Amino acid sequence: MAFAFLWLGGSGIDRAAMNARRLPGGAAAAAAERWRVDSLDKVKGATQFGIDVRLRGMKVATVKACPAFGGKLAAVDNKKTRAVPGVVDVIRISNAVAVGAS
Amino acid sequence: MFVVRVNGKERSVDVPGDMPLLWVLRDVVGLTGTKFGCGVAQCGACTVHLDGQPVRSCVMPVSAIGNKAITTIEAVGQTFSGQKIQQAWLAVDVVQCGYCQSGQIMSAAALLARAPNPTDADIDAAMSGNICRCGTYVRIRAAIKQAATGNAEILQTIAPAGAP
Repeated sequence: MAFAFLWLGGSGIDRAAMNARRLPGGAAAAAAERWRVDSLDKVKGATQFGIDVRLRGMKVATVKACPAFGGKLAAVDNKKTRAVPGVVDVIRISNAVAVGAS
Repeated sequence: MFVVRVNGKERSVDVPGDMPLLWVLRDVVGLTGTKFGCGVAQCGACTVHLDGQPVRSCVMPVSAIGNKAITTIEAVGQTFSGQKIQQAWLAVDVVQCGYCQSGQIMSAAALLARAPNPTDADIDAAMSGNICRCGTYVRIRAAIKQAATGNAEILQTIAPAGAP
């Protein structure tokens, strides 16, 4: 059973209407039940991916991991980084450094 | 303070001049359809149009834009070629995860505006800078051709017997 079949079961979405936006035709009609359900939003850039989530007061961090596998963080001099406008914290991780900013 | 023209609207943005257009669009203007992929113009996910030309917004400083018109995935459907491309994308069902597809569609729409009947070589040249981890390249090519000609492209599909 396709995921779309399960997903549409409780969604109240009219599958016939959704498929009507596709091109008509034999092969297309036969395949209509298999079309992915979220293509329309994705094609319009409307789908919300993880990176698109915005929460109130949310900060963003970037992480730089040790370039060598198994390496450990030795030391961090965070003075210059902390002086950059918007930087909230420099976070030490066992094998990486994260910089959080607003 | 910069004034940028995004999808036909002027927006004043109070940002440093070296801020890439991508983050102006996503974090300041609030248009998140344009995606961050690599940050170094190697993947194409952040592609937008400047006066109709495809550019990688992750390496485009906002100070370099001037009065050029910015078009993003949210409004490319209002252009003739953008609408054709989006319709073909749905008809062929190009998208899998979709993360790269804003950029793919922006590059394809710019190609179609410039070359209404693109050859395979034209498509290769225009689309080679847009990476897709799902590997939708075959359907991308088919959709561009379908958008150009209006004729349905034949694609092999794998359908399990008795699928609903």
